[in-house]
Amino acid sequence: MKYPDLSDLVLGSGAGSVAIVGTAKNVGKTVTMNYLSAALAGRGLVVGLVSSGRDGEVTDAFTGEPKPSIVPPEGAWIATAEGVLGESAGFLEIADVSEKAGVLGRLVIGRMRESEPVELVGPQSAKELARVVERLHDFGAQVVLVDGALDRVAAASPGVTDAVVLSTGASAHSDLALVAKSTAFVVELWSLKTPGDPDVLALARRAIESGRVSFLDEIPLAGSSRHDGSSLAPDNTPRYRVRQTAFDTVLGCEEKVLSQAGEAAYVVVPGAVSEKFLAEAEGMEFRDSFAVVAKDPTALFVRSEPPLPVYVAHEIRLLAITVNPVSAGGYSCEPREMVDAVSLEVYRSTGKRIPVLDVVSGESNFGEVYGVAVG
Amino acid sequence: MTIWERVSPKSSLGRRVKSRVEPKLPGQEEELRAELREVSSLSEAWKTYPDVFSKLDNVLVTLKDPFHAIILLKEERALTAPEIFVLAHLAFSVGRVRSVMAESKVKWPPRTVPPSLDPVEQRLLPGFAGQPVFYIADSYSPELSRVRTERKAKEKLWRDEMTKEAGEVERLLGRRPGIREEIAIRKTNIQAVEQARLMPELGEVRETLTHVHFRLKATREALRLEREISRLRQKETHLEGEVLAFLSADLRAWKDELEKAAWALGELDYLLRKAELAVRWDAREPVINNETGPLVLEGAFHPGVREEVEGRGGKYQPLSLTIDSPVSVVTGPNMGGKTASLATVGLCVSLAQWGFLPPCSGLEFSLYDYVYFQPETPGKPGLSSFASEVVALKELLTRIEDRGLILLDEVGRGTNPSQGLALYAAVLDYLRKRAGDRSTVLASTHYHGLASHLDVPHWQVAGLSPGDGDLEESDAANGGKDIDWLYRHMDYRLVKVGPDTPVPQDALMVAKVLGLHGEIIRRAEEFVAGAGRCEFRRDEPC
Repeated sequence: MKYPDLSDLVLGSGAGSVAIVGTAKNVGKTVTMNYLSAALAGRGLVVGLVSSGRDGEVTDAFTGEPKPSIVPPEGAWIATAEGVLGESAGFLEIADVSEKAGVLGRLVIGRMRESEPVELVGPQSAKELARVVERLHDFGAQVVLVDGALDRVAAASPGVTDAVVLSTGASAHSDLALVAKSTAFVVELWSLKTPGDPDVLALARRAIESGRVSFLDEIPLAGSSRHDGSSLAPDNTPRYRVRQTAFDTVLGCEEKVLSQAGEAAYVVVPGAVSEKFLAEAEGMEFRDSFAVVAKDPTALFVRSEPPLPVYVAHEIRLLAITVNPVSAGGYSCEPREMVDAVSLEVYRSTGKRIPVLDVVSGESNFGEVYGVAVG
Repeated sequence: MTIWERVSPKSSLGRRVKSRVEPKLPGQEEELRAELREVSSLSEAWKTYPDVFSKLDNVLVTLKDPFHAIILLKEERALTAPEIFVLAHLAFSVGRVRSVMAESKVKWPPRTVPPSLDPVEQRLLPGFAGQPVFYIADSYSPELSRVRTERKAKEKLWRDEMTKEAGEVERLLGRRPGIREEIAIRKTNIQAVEQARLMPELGEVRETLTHVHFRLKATREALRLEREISRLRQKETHLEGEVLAFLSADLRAWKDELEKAAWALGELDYLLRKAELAVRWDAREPVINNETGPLVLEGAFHPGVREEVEGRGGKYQPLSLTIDSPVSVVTGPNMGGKTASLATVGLCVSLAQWGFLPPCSGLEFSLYDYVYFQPETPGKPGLSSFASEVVALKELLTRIEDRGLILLDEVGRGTNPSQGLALYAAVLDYLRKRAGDRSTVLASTHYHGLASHLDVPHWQVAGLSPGDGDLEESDAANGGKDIDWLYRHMDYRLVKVGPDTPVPQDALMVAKVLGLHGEIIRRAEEFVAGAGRCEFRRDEPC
């Protein structure tokens, strides 16, 4: 049986844009991007490439080791800063130059006339990234790959890309069990779901769009008023009303925000959700079912499992995990070992069978071996 | 958003023009008339041919700022490829704008029509159709073309060489490695490591705790090709640089046209924004008089206030008034109607002098050197509102020699009423004496007697319509109306009244309508009625 490869998974998902997010440096993210873009181009698709921040540096700034560069296939559309293109940019058909200039100059969008190594430098903010992705689509790219990392995770936000591939490897941790656990944790975080109640979800989305921290208060059933932001129901399910605060962030004012919670059922946070906020919320002894709704999993800045229920207004779609079993300096292991370890740990933590692949060796684990009960 | 912020050019070129504009001052009446005529005729054209204008806007919104490139041309420096793209895009956009303009039946002011840049377009975008792209095409330099072809051919040969090597390694690894791949073999796999070390196709790169890393070693032929390729790439870069240099030299001959074109598009953008506003406001061309004369305003509105009122479900009544006296007084209820009136007058005059068609159906006036408007909100921190007012008045008086439209909003409200009133009256008297032959003062107040004391025209905001039928005792009993109700029933029109007409005594009515406890209202009414017409003084018991 021929297992699907990464390009099959991307095509099968129908995603028009995919973020490749690395958990650390040297985990094979660039190799994954090159592999995927070549595979998609090989299947006749026009690929777009952009990075959030800077990547594809020709030598590793720290170790001085030669790093693989991003090598877009011929005909691919790329976006990068003019400062890293060289004066002539001879390999690029320039189709757009942005008005705003960053540290490395304006953002240039163009099509590769031949396949050449290139440094990709792009915008860091989710909003600008999303715009660039759209521009690349406008110019004809069918699948846009967005390079990102856990410390510039905007690429993975559902507002920027349709799906994500997580890249990890031996360089992330000195020990395989740790690699597997930390990967599983990310997957767990990224598996946060939208609230089950569609009305709560709709209200939360609207509240997030307003840009204000908001509370959802349950409306007493008798004599529900037709106020702005409330939902009505003829049956006995709880209904909610949005109560906006003046805050547009919780960072630095976690306590102040939570002191306004009152009897709220949910707090909806439009921006970053810090560990401190979750800890304070847990400490405040709200009603049992009090929950936090974040914009999407990339808004959560936590290192361990949240102490209270957290939902998201937009879910992340994780297509696959790629692993690089070879680390930059120390520990390495067999591809098969790493692929299996990561796959199992992810399944144990989340119950999900996320495909794990090593694009170099070709080893993969689709989780089909896991039975109902895992010992 | 302020009105100025609403004037939002589509391009950075338009923004440049916007940042350079100045209002027209006394002495520039003819220029201003010409400017306003332009806006008026274009706004009429917009209503008739909206398609033309949206086509132009579609081009304007894609424009890139070419000034950095133009400066480089002037300094006779070579451009980079992205900068040449920007100029190519400019030439392309100019072509589109010119063709839309030519096909339309609109008369375009000459400074907004960019000169033709067709030769630039042809030079930079040879054989182009559709969206403009720029690259250093082979056609620019036959030698470049030759070098590129040779380089590509050698690269292919190199790849073939390395692929052969990779094929040899396949047997060892069980799979074909990538040409540039770093192959890691586990140390525990002693046999494989030994074999790899013996293979001439593989070179050891480094060793870690657990693996030994190898790369495909280049054959002698591959190495030779690598050197060739490197040399050719250097040549290629050099030739590309030469192409950039001679393209830049060619463009240098066009630098003036390019700059003219850029400014023309900027002027077009800015003018279109003015016309757009005029259409939205259904604004008319004002009459600018050379000689000092009355200020006549008809059907004027403040766009921000109107939006707010209509947003609350109210109906906004436009403002009309004729000011033919150096000082006039405006009174009215405490609901912001006075401030809104002053602001509307100031806005219409200012906009007109900045070259916009103001939001009104008629405006006739003569140009001012300045417009002064001090609204209610105090400015400086650390000073009481009254003290800030005094400081602001001092600043105003430094311009007493010039012709100003002076809009004073409730001066003296933040202090002892009798002294506040006295000070205000004195300020107005001073302005009338010293600047009455040239400046126009509109002063709002909630003090009674200012107009009669100075014997000046007295305008009053119509206010809450009394005979509405909704203002009943029962409303107060039922918790009253809400503040939006009040705003909805506010009539912002100014009506001319006699100098002695009393200031509306509306505070208690407002409180009653809003449902403040009846007992408090009754007591307040007693205080007011006590000892005839008693103004509730702090220093004298009633």
